[in-house]
Amino acid sequence: MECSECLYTSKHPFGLEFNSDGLCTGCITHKEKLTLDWEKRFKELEKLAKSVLGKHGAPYDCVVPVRGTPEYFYVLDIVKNVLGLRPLVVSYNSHFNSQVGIHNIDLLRDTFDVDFQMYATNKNTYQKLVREMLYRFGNLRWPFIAGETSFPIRVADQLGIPLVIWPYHQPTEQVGMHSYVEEPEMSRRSREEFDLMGLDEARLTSPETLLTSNDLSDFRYPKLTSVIGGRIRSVYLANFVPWDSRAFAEIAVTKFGARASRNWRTFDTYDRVDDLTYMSVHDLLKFSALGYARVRDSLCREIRFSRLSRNVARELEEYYQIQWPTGGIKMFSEWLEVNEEDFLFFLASQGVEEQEKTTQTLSSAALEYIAGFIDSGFSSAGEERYLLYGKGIELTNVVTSPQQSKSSNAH
Amino acid sequence: MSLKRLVAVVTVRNGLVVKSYGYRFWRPAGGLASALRELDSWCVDEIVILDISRKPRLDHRNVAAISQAMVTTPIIYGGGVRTESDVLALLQAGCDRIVLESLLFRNSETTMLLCERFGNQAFVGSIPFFGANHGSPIVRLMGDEDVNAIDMSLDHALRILQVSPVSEFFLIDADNEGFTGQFSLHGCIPKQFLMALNRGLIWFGGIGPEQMRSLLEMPQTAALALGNRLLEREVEYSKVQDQIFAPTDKTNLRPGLTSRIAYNAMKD
Repeated sequence: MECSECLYTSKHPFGLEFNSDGLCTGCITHKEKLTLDWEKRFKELEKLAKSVLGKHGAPYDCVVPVRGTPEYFYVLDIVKNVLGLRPLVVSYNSHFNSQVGIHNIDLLRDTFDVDFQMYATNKNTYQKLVREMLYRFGNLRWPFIAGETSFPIRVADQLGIPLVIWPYHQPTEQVGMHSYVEEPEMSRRSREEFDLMGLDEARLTSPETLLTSNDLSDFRYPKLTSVIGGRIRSVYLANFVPWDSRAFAEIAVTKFGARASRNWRTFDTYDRVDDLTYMSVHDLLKFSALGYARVRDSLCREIRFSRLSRNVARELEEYYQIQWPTGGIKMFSEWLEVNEEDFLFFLASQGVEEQEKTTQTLSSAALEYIAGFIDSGFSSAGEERYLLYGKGIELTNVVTSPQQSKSSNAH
Repeated sequence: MSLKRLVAVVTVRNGLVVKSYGYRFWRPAGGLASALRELDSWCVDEIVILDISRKPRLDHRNVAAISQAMVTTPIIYGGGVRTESDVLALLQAGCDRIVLESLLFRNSETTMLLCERFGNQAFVGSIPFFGANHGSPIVRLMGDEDVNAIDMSLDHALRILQVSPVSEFFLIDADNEGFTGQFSLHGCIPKQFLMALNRGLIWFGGIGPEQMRSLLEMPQTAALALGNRLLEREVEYSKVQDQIFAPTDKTNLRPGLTSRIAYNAMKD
């Protein structure tokens, strides 16, 4: 069954329910962004902030996990400048950083003058995990998500910081798992079920794999005793402000100088621009496994905000989901230390194959819509390798004209 | 005074957990096995799994999930149970008790046979009330593929329930289910009805913090059941405990639970 407004169907991996009008729970929840009293909601956040402000003796009031995408500037602006909290900003290194991603992280730290911790699992272990998850589950994102969702909680636990502030809860944003007034918080179950595809790290070591308990130590979620009695609360900013990734990213680009970037397989110049595998290899695997690509998530957001019609959304989805990220595949094969042909053979075993180049050209309505996304002049197709760390980096993947990115299909 | 229980309800629809609101609207909430494991780690007293798919048969996906979860918390399962082999399958998967609703009202003979075979203690009777908000509740049995829905008065329902051999009754405020704080049943069901049931009562359906204490203090109350809110935050169960039971609680309604959770977590 398909939603009567957006493009999601009942096959969504998080599950989806519909009302009698055929509207999905994701769209129903989204409408709360237009109807709730958000001033009142924000006062609840202010109350929460007051309850932790300078009260527990630690040098920080909260932990804020970030990535190198523009929307996190908005998060820190709220946390530091509006709520007046002292955040410790943390980031888990994906190993697949783009220049734009590194630049944005750098700029975040300097703009808000915050203390910052980045953690990178050593490459041998990380590569081993990526190989294992690719081979067993056709998924290369598990190690990053496992690290990203556990590192901030471990830091909070170790330093006695009572609050972790995340941007939004993906199942709520996509399929309306909760109402915003229910103020859902991050939990071990939510992490395991929705972020980690039902694969808790405790269940990944087995005689059939090369993984040992030590390999997974960076991905362990703290024990329950750490969160009992409210010692650590993990809240979502989206419970208190009407979340709009695109609008917040555009604020970040125009107000703070964050960078946007053209990317493979999408028109969205803000989404996942920090990670060079997300819209390339990962998106191909996702499309094969789930029947839809990341571009649908972006399109559903745009439809729900009435920025895009369903017809044009369908057109854009058909155009982008078949694009082949040549440069992204090459980079990943090199990182994984496998022959590119062998990796293409593996992808074919997962149902991922390059489709015939389409003669489809986008309509004027679609082109006009795409033009509304800020183009900072950078493109993932211009990158040649992943960055692990960087500071004060000079961006070299500047694309001065669309023709320079033609061969890699990154728009 | 016997200890009162605080029970977690997991509502399932077509093999997946949902957050249910008045049994009319649902939000997706992930898989059953992970929900069971989470509640188990919180040391809840009991878990009630209610399959509201409205199918006249046991959904074996749920049975498989219960086996897979391997939890030690007592599990009560309801929804689509019709035969002795259904009960056996559930008991073998790890369930401890079964909720009967359709059989309870539509097929008392089978209910009797099951209670004789497995023991009265293994069965809980579910009574879904509608109309509590208007002060005059009725019992409504929702239909499925095989049978139509029927409404019955409290008198009619009581005649069936009084002679039923089940060990406890699960009283559901169906209209307010999922809407925390809007539970209305206790104010509109006549005391004589409750006394005539003559068994322990489990209350469910939008019970809010302010209502919990007074419900627990009713002598016939055996347990309170909570649903949606337990899926929204980490260790929400212990927060509910803290709301109801002060550390110096002299009524001994329930000993503190936080220490049990801590003990369980140390074994991680």
